[in-house]
Amino acid sequence: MADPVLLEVEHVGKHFPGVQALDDVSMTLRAGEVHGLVGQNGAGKSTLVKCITGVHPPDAGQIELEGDPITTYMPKRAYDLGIAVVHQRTKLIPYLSVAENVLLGHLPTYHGAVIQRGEANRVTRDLLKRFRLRLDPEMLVHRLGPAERQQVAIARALFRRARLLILDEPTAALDAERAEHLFELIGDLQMQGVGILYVSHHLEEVFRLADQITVLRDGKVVATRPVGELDQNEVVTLMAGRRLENGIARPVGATAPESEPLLELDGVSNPVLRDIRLSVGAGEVVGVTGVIGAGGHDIARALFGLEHLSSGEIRLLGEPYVPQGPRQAIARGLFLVPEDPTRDGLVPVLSVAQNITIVDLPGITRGGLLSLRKERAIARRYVDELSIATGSIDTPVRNLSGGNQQKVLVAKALALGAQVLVLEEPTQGVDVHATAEIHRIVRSLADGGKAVMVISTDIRDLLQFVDRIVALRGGRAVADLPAGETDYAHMLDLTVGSLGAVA
Amino acid sequence: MSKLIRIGIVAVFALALAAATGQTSAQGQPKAASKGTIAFLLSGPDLYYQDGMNGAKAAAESLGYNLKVYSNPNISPSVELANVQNAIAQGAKAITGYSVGLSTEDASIAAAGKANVPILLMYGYSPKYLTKPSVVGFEQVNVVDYGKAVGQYVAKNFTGQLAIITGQLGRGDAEGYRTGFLQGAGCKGNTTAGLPPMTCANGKIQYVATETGHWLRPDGYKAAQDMIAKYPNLKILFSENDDMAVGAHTALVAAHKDQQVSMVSMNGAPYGLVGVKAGWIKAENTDSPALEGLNAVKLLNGYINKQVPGGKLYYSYTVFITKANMADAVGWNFFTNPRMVATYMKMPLLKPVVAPPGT
Amino acid sequence: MATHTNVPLPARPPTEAPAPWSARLLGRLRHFMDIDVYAVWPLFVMVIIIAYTSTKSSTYLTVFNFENILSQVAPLGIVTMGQAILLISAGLDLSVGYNIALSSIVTGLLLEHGYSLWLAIGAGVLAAMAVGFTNGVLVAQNRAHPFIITLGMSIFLFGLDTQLTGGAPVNDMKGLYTAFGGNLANGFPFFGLPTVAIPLVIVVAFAYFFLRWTPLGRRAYAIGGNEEAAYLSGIPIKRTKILLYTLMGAIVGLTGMVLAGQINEASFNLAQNFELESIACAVIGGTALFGGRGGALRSLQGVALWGVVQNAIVFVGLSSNYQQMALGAIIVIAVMAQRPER
Repeated sequence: MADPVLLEVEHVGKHFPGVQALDDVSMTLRAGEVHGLVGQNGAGKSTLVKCITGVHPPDAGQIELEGDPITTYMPKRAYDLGIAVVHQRTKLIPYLSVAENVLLGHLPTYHGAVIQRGEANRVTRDLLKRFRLRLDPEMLVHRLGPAERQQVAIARALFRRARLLILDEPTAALDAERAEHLFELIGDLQMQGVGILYVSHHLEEVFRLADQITVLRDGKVVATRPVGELDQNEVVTLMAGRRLENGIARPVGATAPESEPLLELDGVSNPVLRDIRLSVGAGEVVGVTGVIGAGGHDIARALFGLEHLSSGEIRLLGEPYVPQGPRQAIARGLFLVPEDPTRDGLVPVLSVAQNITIVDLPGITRGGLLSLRKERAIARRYVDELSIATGSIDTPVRNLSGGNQQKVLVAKALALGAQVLVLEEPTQGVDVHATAEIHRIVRSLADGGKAVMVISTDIRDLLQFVDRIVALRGGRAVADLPAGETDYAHMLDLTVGSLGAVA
Repeated sequence: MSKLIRIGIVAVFALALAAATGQTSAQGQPKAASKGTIAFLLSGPDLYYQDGMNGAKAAAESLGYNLKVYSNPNISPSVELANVQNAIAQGAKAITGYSVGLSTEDASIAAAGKANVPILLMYGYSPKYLTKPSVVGFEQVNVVDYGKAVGQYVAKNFTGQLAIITGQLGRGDAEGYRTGFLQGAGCKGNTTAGLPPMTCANGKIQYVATETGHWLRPDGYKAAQDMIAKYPNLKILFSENDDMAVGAHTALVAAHKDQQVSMVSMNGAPYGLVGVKAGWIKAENTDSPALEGLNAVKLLNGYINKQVPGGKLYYSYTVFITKANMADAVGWNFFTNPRMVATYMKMPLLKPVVAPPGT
Repeated sequence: MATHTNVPLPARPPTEAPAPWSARLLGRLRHFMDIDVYAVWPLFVMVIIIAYTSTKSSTYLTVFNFENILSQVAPLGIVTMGQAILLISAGLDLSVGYNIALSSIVTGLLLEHGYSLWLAIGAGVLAAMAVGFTNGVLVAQNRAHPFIITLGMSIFLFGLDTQLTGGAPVNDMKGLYTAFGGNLANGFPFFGLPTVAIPLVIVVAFAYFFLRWTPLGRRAYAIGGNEEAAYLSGIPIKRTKILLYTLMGAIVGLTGMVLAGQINEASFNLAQNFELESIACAVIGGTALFGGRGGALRSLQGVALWGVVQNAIVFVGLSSNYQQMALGAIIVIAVMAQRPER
């Protein structure tokens, strides 16, 4: 017995100047089904989602919700019809409380004038309890972390009795523990008949949760199949139109035990970190993982002088190093590739070339003036070496996809000639192919004699390309193992499970 | 570097502040055997107002009062009211000076009336105030007549195209000067609105353009530039104050048109008299703010001694000058010369206007 | 430079086809000229206004009139170059008006007391640079917005200016007047071109050059475009800001010399409203208020439009009040035309 059809996308097409974003796309989603939507960056996933949610109408075809075609295209209409989207960066109102955000637009009032705060909190508390979300209705949203904010967005969608919930990269900002929680919630919603469109790059998740998968490539649907009929490699092939080279990179294995340590931390502590001891040698790639707040990012920021250390010693390239700020760190040969390229790492309006050379202006300065020719030469070199997909090196960096922006950040590190690199979440929100390339690039950096520390909450991703992996828990390093001697379950246990539990 | 620099900057600012306040408070040092304090509302840093204050101060000192200056450099209405209230609270025997505008005048006069402090303002006359309590009166030029004299001179001596550079419109005086000038020059048309084109002096003069110079020299410069470009055959230029006249003259020199255009002006400022002497201001009507201030204090003193009734309008002493009678002009800075101060102090009090306009 | 891998990367997946040569040429052209099509609208508007006004007055389209416009906007244009540089770095300077006045007053007072011309000029420009330096230090040290800091400085300078002169203007700028008060002599290729055009051209060229070709100029773009990213890239934020504001001070001082020479006056009201006008002109030209975008040439077209509009209103015969209204309208349109870039 098939569940009733919730969403019917029929031969939808959408054209933007210069590009056919969607071409004859058809898809069916039933109530209680989790439908995975995968594809490379630029394949049309977000355009399709925007058509469904009413941001812009399709040029061809139509979309039907429970049999009724959608004719008015306004996002509010979509909400009224019961479609809700939860994006990667959810748009909530920071200075209002959780309850006010969840009930936005439908707050209980006295005669439409004064908000009934108590009632609002009660309704919200009931809703949260029903879906086992642990949030305080009165807490102001700007004090919540990204994972909690996502929960607020989901709660808001549920309050409006969404029948179709679209989740866009939902685990991007979640650590393993919270991701599990989300999966449970999805299971609950399925049982209640909510249809879920799950858009993600994390194929393992899609395979775990979804009943059906639709693969988009260049705006067209290349396959829609039940999950059981496919495996991950086939999906990846379909996404790219050809085989992924060499499969997914394997870990290199234990490094030569005599490689000189380029970065050493000993007894490093601050309000979050507790007595961290770790080292990264020349030619080594060390992964550092743990839930959000366990200390990974704090190590990165502290090394770069952005956060204070209360005690401990650090040695960089054999010499004692007291972090004072980015400028000093860079001068000493240490570079941080930050987590969010647009926000922290790149100047969006400047071109690719300009962004790469900004770290080392003296390097392109001749006689007090910038040598634009040298700049272009450097830029072209790294665009080639790292396969940065851009029409020209003068394109403003904001026009590049997330993965390519990450590559520009890496180019900066290379242009600097840094010996020690710290990468924060380098593959977050990046599609499968770009991720594989980043793995290759990192390995080749190590092969060139550099020491690389990669900080990520994505354990599976790390295990694919690091030499050693360090598990952090509550600010402490609870394990430091060669990648070959551990696996996902083991690391999960260390970072969230009983194995790594600290007093 | 940071802490030292911060301290250094604060120190510099503090010193500058101290120097500035030191100066102004020095102006208010009490003299021995003082008959009390007269408050002076100084609304604006321009030379005109400064010299008005200096003239008042000379008179006050000569009469045995001490003049306390209440500054309002940003020409702000709220500051004026605060100044008036402070003056009253600090025991002023009388108030004079300049009001910022028609709206604050109301409040200032009311405050003075409630506290029974006599007040005489320069400029800002309106008939309704003459009957208010404590109002000693107003002193200002007769704006229309002031302009008329210049207009008559122009009609008698020049022909051709005429342009006018006005001061800041909207306060009444700039419009009044223009109206008076146009009437004096015999212009046919709505002289109250004062807009070109108009035929004047029985057809000998054509009024073609007017632009505002906001009483400022750089703006007078621009206005003259624009007007001479639009009317290359311009023959006459009337500027409503000397600052704009000087600016206009500089522009005409740069355009090599200074011989072609005859300029007339108003004010009698030191830099304007320089122009009269050099010949590039053909004539101007002059009025000395210092003399205005001096007379204001004399009148207040008379009121306090019950020799002068309240509620009167007084016209300032003006002199129409050309190169020939330059010596007749009352300078703006005679207050530096004690003999001249004494001479003006000895002159009789101004006579009130018999039938003030509006009554 | 980086030592590279001895393990060759495996064959990479094919990249996107490189953009057609026409797109790349356009990209390079845009980059070189620092102008994109949308930002050239002031020039179109100018052409329209000039065409219209010439029908209204026979004396409009003369060399003399356009030289007038040039002389009217030259001082503003000089200071707008500095303001554009600051805006690009996400800063701004509201103390410009009274700082110009300060430099003119310092120079004027020294000239009055008989000091040599070059000494007086040097002192005036140094005074303005000291103000700029102070602005820079305060902005770099504090989290407060430059708006507040430079506004406070403006008020302080107003008091200082009036205190120094007692409200009385300096009436003879001697050597400066000789230099900037008139036109180049006949016989030059540029008969009648106002001499103030020379410093304008020099400063515009300098600003263009500075923004394109110097490390400090590049850092200005970076800080304005994304200060956090600039910081993480090792750029010394505080030091750069201080340098930029001090440079602004030098430009302001130069403007003071030029303006005081042209009008032959030094007074506190020599350059009132120059701060808002220079920001408006830079914005009209396409320099973003929030930093990261803009350039010397495009800010110059804002100044040109400003001058043309003011002059045109006189020639069309409208009252001066319309000048204010028109300028206000242009500013609003210019800001609305700035596409939000995030």
